[in-house]
Amino acid sequence: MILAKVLGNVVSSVKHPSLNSYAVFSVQPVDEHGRAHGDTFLAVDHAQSGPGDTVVILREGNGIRQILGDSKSPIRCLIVGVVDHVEPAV
Amino acid sequence: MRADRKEKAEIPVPLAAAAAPPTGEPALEPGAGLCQPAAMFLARVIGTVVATKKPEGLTGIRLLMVQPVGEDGTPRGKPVCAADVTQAGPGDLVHVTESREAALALPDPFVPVDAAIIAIVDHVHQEPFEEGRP
Repeated sequence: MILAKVLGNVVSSVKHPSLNSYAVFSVQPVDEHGRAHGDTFLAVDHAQSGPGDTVVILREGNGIRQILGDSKSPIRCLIVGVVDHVEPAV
Repeated sequence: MRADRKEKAEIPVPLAAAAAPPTGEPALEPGAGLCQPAAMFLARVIGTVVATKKPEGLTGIRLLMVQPVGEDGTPRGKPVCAADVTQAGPGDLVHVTESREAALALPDPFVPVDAAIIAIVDHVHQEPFEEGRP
């Protein structure tokens, strides 16, 4: 799981049925200090997050299929939590 | 038997020593490699692939060349060949999923596919990235 910041919506009308009723966001991975780290990618929202939120992203397909209860879901990155606070040790 | 095990256990030690960066070289910064690989990303369709000899489960599945792009459309990394289930065409901005989940998007999920187009993107709402803790 990684931390990322939600940048914005990605709107599609033609899509795989498993993506119906889920929001897709473009996200920027961040480190524990909130600094950008690595390339942006796409994630499906399962935590009612929105642009500007720092979120926890699960990137393991089998876990995602269990959470969604959809054994044929092609989703690879799922937003599973919204971060309130990070306290780095250093 | 025990001697064999000991020998096997000793193998990784010189490998680990070889992999360690030489002293004086800057160590990897914390969090390096956070996002490898991307897994789901935006891409632009740059061409079609025609293959006459394909695995059985891929009959009738379109193959397209896609170039991963950023939110602003700038190319990023190398193009990949992706299976398509959305009838996307050249020039379309698409949502690509990778690894095992790519095959799950296809009618037959037991096919040798590691990238698939699962949506055609209409538009991307982009907000500027603001650094800082939540």
